[in-house]
Amino acid sequence: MNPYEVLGLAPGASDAQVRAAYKEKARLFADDPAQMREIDRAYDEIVMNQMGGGYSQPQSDYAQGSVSLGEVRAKINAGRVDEADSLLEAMPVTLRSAEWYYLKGTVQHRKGWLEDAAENFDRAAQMEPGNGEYRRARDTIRQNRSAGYRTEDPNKKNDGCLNCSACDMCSGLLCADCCCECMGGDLIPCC
Amino acid sequence: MFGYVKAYKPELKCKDFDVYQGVYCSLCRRLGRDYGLLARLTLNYDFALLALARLSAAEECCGFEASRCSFNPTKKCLNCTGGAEHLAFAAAAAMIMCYYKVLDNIADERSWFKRLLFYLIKPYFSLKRKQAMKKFSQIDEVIAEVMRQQTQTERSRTASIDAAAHPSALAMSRLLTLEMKTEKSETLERFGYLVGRWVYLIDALDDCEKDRVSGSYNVFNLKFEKEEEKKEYAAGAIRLTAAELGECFEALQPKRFGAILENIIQFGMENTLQKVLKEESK
Repeated sequence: MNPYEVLGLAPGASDAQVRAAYKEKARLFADDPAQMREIDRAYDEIVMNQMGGGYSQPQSDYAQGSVSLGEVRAKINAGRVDEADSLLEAMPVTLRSAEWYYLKGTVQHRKGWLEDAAENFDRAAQMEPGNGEYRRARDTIRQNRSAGYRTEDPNKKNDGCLNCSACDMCSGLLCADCCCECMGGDLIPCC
Repeated sequence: MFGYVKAYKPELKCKDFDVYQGVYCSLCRRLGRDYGLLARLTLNYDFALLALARLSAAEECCGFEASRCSFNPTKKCLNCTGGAEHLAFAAAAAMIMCYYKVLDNIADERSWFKRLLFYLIKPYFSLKRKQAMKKFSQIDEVIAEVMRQQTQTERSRTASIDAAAHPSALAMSRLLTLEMKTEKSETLERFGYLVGRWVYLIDALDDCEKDRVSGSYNVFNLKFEKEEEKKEYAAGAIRLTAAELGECFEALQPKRFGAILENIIQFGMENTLQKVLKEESK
């Protein structure tokens, strides 16, 4: 769809007009993520076209974005979630990458806003399907949503070859002895 | 909104059940001693959890002694010998909460008869609230502020589940951490936040049908039209909260009562959710 139509503008509208239209629409549809995405995409497209249509500009934008995202990450790790959130909010919508949505989700997750966090993780994973970090975050939420809280069964923890009692060892030795005897040898001479 | 957070008895060890009931009984006793016989009737499991969680994070252990229930003298129960300040805190919180609940009901109730009833009991709770405020004035500040936020969010009719649950979540978080001296206050804060959020969400799910008929604000009704979708989504949001709460509980590593809290989170909450879901489909 024509990005200008989405924003309700005539093709070739000025920079200021586009920005005003975007703000107007964003306020109208603030509660509707699907519409919001549409508007964001239209705005991005127009801005990028105006910048010359090349990919060099968005590339540098992205680089700029990721520098401050590193800062956001550091703040989150230091536990200063509110500061991280205001940094994220200060970033213009056009620069919001998959990582931005992931970090926003992390901040919301810390604050206990789980539904919004789930939405942002979803979006990050959707924008960059190859990224393991985003996918893991999304999948953990999905699993918790369907299963709730489950502690691991302590009986199942030691399952497998780690579980080896004295009885197991004796019966193992006996077995090995039988096998050896079948082949003509002997492992335990006394039996 | 009361009485959703309960332990699931079949999965609880006898010794833990005795302790759980002991805390419940002690809180009941405390309510009776501080606020009179009638106040005991307001007791519910949500405030037992508040007392339990605060006691579990407290520095010194409250001891228990065997005693008898004055309502049912043939029944023996445990009674806390220590931790009086936490029990008094939970009792005060219960009284203040009840007062605001009555105010809320007066504002929401449509039938004039029920409203009259609430008007009649209001002076009683108002008195009890004043008594509670003498000792714990911060509780009243916290709850008054939260109630104001709650009204605001309800008026704004937000469709965001997180925004709708925020005031209640905040209330529980503050109630749990007020005057608590612990090195893990941040984890405790989150624990409280998630408990409050869980209670809000399950209450919203429980009231879905009622609110749909009366046209009151309910975040789940706002978001979904179809009954099935709504229930599935709500159950998911509630389970997700419980799962996060479980992780938070693991990080909390409470000094005591761990088994009871774990039982509540792992089985009790799921059990309540199942019950509410079943009721809704009737």
